[in-house]
Amino acid sequence: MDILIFIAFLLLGITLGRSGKLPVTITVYLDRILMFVIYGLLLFVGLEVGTYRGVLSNIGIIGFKAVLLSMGTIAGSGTLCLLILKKG
Amino acid sequence: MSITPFILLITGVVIGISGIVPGELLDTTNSLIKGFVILLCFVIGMDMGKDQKLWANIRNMGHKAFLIPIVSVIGSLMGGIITGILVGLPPGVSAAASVGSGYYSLTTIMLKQLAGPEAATIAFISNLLRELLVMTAMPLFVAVFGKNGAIGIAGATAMDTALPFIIKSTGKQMAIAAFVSGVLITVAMPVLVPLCYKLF
Repeated sequence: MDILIFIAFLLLGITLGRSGKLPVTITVYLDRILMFVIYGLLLFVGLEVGTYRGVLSNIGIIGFKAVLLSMGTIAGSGTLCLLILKKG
Repeated sequence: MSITPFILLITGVVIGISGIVPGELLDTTNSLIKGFVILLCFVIGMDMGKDQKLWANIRNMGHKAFLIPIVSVIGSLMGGIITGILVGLPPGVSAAASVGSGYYSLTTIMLKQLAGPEAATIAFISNLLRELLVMTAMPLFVAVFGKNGAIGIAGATAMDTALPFIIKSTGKQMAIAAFVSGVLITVAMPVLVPLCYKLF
């Protein structure tokens, strides 16, 4: 359900932007608000990670899994692009 | 690449450890996050919509514009899920973190909302590392996976932080393809992360 709302607002935004009726000052302003929103939310995510005992006491193993996951996504996207799209 | 998001997250962790923040305050953040993700979708859409040059580029490239980003996301997803199974991560978490495609700030926030602090930490470390590797190992990626593969690996970061490194390693003619690929992944990401979490 949430995803449909996300898509709806994405399309609404694109339509508004495409219409060319948005003053540049507004979009610049929104960009900045957005940046602060993301920063603020990250602070909260950090707070929760710090409060929640499970993460920090296992940070070694969680970090190790995350590093391997990163390698996996890199190898996966690189290999599939190479196989399907060739060297380019 | 801005270091501010990283500093804010770490600051949050330190404050959290200190225990000065009441638990009730944290319980209210989830619905807040959803509201802000909706706002984010709206703004990303407007940002993309107003960019006339981007639309002209997509028109000129035709269906090719969508090839690299689509193959990149599917490849990340496959690699991420397989690795996740091998190291013992829930498939939903590894799938959602993988389609984050290097956009670590938003992926971390969304995974916190979807699956809690442990999944958020996985998303943060794996996507931040992907962005860092894209910036430091681009010549290696081009040599091993080719120019298309390197743009695919850059994922969402191909539109901004990785773009200069892509141009340096692949030449100017790949700049438009890289930028378009990064924008399309960035736009699709707020939808793909929750979708993949629920699907897998």
